[in-house]
Amino acid sequence: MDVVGPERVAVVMGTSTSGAAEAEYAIAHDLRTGALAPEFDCVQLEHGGLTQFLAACTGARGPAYTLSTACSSAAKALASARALLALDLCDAVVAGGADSLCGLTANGFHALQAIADEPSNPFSVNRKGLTLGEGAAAFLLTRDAGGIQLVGAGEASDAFHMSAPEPEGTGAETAMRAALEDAGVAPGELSYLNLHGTGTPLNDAMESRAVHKIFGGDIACSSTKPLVGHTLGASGAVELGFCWVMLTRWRDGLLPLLPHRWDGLADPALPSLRFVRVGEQLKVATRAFVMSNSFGFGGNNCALLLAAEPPC
Amino acid sequence: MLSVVVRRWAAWTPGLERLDDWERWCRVPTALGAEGAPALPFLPPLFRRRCSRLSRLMLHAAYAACEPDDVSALPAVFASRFGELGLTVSLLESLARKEPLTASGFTHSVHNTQIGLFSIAAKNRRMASALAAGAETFPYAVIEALASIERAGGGPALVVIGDEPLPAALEAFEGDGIAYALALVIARAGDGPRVRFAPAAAAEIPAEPRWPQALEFLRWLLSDEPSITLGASGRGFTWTRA
Repeated sequence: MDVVGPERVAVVMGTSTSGAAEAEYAIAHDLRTGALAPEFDCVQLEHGGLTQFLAACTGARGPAYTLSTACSSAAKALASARALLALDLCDAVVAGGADSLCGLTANGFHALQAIADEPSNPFSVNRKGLTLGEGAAAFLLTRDAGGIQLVGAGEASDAFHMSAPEPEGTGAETAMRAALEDAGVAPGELSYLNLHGTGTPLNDAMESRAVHKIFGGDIACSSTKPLVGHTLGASGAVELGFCWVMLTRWRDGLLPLLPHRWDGLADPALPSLRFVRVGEQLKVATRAFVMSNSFGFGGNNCALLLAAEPPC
Repeated sequence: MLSVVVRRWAAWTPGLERLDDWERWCRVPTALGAEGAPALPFLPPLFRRRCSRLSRLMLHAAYAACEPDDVSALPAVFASRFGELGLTVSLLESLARKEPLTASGFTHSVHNTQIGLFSIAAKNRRMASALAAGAETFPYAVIEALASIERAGGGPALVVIGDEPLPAALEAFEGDGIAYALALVIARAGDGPRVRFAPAAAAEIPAEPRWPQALEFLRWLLSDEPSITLGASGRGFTWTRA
């Protein structure tokens, strides 16, 4: 803020719930007493409220808006933040996402029959659905050289269904290919792919097909959702954060990979993928590229690509 | 200083549906309504039935602003300050009464409901954003459309802004009190009026705009006034004809 000035700092955040938990309490209070809970303000429920709050907290006075495209919200916020820098609308962006657990999403995903009765088990023949999580992650993006770079973003729509992904994964495939093209990276150059991997039958089926079409079965990949749950509108930033941490642990030509925690029983109906084992490290000598997938319902797909130089 | 060309536009609010209705309103603004919704005759009946009023408003404006080939071809930004707050509040009331939610109710309460329905109806597989930014939703929707053009490597983008009155449970809070949608097809170049905009000093921002910013912008675009400053809470932009 001191270096570039508050007018040149933007805030772009993703959320799917915003303050639905506070609104739940306020509305229940209204039904019980005839008045909303007195501490409630509508801005807590507005999706824009998250970003207004963060801008006020940080003192940033540049562009400030929320993107809310269900589970791709935070990934889209990062793609948009990168474009704001390219357009010279700011010199720094606070970008990421936040979602909190609330009755609305728990009951909503239950109604969609998407929630497993045990921890999620992505890509397994036994997968039964997702496990909800909550969380937040934010990045500071600048045009500075060096460090870990966001070098590619790809976005596409399924144009298929409001709550089910297109079965062949065409929109997911388009987003991943667009991110690779944006970064000028060939599929074979990618070291690791962080899957959306919700553990629902439909997501994992279509994502397997889309990933296999681009990368074949050899790319090291994992879903980190069994570790922290599906953080919905925050997941794009939380999972890119895991990728960022992973890249900071790259030492002596060895990149430690994020593990895929599951029962190890692949679904024979799906194209086979190479899931990262616990403790696995990959030999990476030159530039490292990793990708993170986020697919929101309503058919909203986003893939982000990070690059890092070898550590000194 | 940013600049955009407004290639095409369309808007809908109860009683003002065609371009000449809006041109008349922009010369002599009159009170705007809160009731009613466009019929969307170009969509299948089963699909229309799933469209809330906000969805009808925004899809109508989107289709009306686009050339026929553009509906499936343009990257799109759909923006709303409040989105489906009416449906969201009814779901929260169901929760408070310990009633189960329906899958369809939950699915259609999310902020990207309208962009999802639009992409399906129009078979549009391009990038699509759903945005909210409080009282500043209009200018940031235009900025996100410029950011979408940047990500798409050029060409035009569709931006649709729509809102409706707050539900009864939330009527104590600030809202526009009307139902409307404005759609713009914008680009960095091409035919149409070129508009520049830049952040305004707090002192220049009028206290209480009479209409939602999107409609103030449209009224100005169709007028001869050289510039207009729109904003809220000491933040805003000055829009100037290039």
